[in-house]
Amino acid sequence: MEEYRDLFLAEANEYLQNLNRCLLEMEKEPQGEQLTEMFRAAHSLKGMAGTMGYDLISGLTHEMESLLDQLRSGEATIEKEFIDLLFDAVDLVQLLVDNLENQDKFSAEVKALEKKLQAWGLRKELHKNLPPLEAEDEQEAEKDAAGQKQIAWEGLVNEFEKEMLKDAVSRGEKIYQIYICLRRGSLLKSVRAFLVLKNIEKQGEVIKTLPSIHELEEEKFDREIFLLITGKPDVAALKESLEKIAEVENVGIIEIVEQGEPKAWEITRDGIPGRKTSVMHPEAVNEQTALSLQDGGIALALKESDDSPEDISQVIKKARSLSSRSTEKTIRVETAKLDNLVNLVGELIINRTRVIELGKKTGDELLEGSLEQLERITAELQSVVMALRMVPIKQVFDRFPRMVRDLSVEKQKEIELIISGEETELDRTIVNQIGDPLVHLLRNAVDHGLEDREERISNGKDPVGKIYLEARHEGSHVVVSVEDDGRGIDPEAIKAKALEKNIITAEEMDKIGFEESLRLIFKNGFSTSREVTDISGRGVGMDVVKTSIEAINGTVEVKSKPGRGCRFMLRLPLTLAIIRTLMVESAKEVYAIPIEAVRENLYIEPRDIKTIQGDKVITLREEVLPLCCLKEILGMGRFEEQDIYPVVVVQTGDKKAGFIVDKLLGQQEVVIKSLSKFVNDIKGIAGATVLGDGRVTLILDVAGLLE
Amino acid sequence: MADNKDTVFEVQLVAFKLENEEFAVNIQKVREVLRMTQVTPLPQSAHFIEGIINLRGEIIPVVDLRRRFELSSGERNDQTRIIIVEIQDSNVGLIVDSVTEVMRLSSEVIQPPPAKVAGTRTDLIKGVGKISDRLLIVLELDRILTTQEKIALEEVTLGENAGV
Repeated sequence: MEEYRDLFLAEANEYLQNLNRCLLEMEKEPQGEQLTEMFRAAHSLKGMAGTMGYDLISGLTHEMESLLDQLRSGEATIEKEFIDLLFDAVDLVQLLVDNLENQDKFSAEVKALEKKLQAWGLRKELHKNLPPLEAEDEQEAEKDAAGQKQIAWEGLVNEFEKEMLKDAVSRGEKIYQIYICLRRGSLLKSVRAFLVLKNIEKQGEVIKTLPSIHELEEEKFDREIFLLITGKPDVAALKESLEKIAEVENVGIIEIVEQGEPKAWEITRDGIPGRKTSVMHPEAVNEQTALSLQDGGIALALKESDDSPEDISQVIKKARSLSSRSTEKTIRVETAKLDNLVNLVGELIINRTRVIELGKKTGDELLEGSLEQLERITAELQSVVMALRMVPIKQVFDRFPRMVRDLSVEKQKEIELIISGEETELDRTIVNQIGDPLVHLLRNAVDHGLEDREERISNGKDPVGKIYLEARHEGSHVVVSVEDDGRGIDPEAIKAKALEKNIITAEEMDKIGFEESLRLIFKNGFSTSREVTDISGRGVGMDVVKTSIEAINGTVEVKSKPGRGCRFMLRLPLTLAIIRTLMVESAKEVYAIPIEAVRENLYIEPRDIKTIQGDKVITLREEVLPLCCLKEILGMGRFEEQDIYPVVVVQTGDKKAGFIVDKLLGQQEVVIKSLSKFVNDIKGIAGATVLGDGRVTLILDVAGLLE
Repeated sequence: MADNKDTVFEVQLVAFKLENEEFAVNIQKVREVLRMTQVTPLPQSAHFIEGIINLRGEIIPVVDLRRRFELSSGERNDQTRIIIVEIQDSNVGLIVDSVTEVMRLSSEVIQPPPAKVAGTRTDLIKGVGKISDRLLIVLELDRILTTQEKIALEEVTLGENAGV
């Protein structure tokens, strides 16, 4: 079981997130789909927890499921308290999931909440005297009925399959729909499905399955399988043999009677119900079944997405939502494996460059040709692997609606959180690291940015405060902004607090402008750690936000309009793993300068260099730039007189300077490698990279060098 | 070794030379031994850090052990080796004059370090092994990369446990 625990955790958290999201949506505007989705999530959670033996979770989710089922069948109305109750339940399940080892601690809470849920269910009973516990049976009954319902196959089969059906009918065979429902929480579902197929193939030809064969193989289905078969089977015997397969709970076989042209496929509703059918055609065994089955399966898997049948019954909706869920073509991979892959590809790229350099020396045309091929493939591989690291920022954003809701209840402020651009993709490491800073910014916006209702009304604002959380691409960066329409930041209050905390002096206080005063909130010591608790102060922990964003090569900006709101903008790099650099040589060593920091390169003559108070400067387009010799600031050598000096003009933030180097070598993309933990705190060095020839080159941290 | 006084057991050591002294490290900490290779200097690092090297894609800091023990810097020749050792779960290279042998020693033979061994710093020494007339200095790897200030600080806090 242990090995399944991580999987359980990952999936359970996903379901819980779904539940939270649906509840939030439902709070705004109740819709049937949310109920169905929540029901499904609660149901899956229950099943998973049951399999794992987490009785508390399965018990609690069972109650949730029952209640949701009542709602779904319109037996209860959605009320505010009800949603709050479900929120409590979701929280408790989350708590249990987070504390799998010590679940028993919470058994009292679980029991209490289960009672509450049951009580609610009973109260809402309208005409049926079923206790909520039996709701599942109702659902079972529904599944039973599904065995008798027919799927609108005509919208699902492709031309090829239609031909096969036509052929079969012309051979005098019949068409059947077989419905299989596996037991809840069944393990080895794909094996069961395989056995089902095997059994059917003895008696007929499988034309189509829903979900597709491919999905069945990969266990991407819930419990139900629909099959469309042709042949002359002994229906009773077939049904019996199918029912004998372990973990098959329910089998239904219906004959589908074709009328007229196969195109206008109609299904007769009076098709013989599976249980009573007894047609005897035992000889119909098709040797080609396996092959055509596979072909059909694959063709279907491909085609399914562009099918759009008009007349869809409830069953098919269900079956299709099932299959659309299972066609999500994703797998879970441990991030460590992914990181390892990225690293290996980095190595491969480096070695490729080396091999190609060696290959060129031989002058062998055949070798050069295949090396070119190698270069192309590895370049493609590199871009694919880099894309693997990219994840949508949604992963972080998803937790905020719930957080803001809870905060708004706590603060008794009406707040609307408007999220946009959540599909924007960023490097996984960056996405992992912006969560906490964003929590901080959002909390600040709720606590101190937005006014309370009365104040908003008296200021002529919409009583509902708005917070906009947005992510978008901007050049090679992603900008994430948190904006509120609250009272904004009062520069005078900021200055007063900065003075109190000894960050600025009284004289400075008078000189500081509006923009600059806003930046004071990022100063270390502006807030004390004591205040970084549940209730944030405006600017509390802002230095932490700034430091953590800068740690991933990002920047933070703040803009504010007093009385109108304020806006924080985080500018983040797309990726941390590969960057473009300008390679320079200094003191016989090669250094890489991140291209983001490079403004321009130029060559200057000794007479261009001026001296101001002993420091070298140059005048570039009427701007005076400090000039420093790279090997001197690195402590690797002394400035030497030359006829001409190559200079790299660098800039970070508003700091700008010229670096004198020995040689400009050109641009190159490099894979960033961190320095060993023993030497990673060197100012001015951001990391290292390995060049094509295997040499190690340092990547400079311009901000560190300019300090 | 010194951390288990009750039982006698055998330790396997990789022995190497620095100037005229013979040193050793526990073989369990040794990942591999390389010939001297090109080392990229690391600006503004501790004086004993020679630089960094690329070992199959991993960036590894390399310590010049001569400088670490404040010995005169010797010339690099075809005997010079880099011993890759594991310190606190990270790999570190140690530049030594030559690697002499792999040997087995009984833990009894290894004694706590005397006050002074050939002008070297005793805080980097775990113990001294005597085999007939040879003297083998066993290194305390965990301290190799720690700067003196930090060691001084540690010694203050360790206080009574100073004998370890």
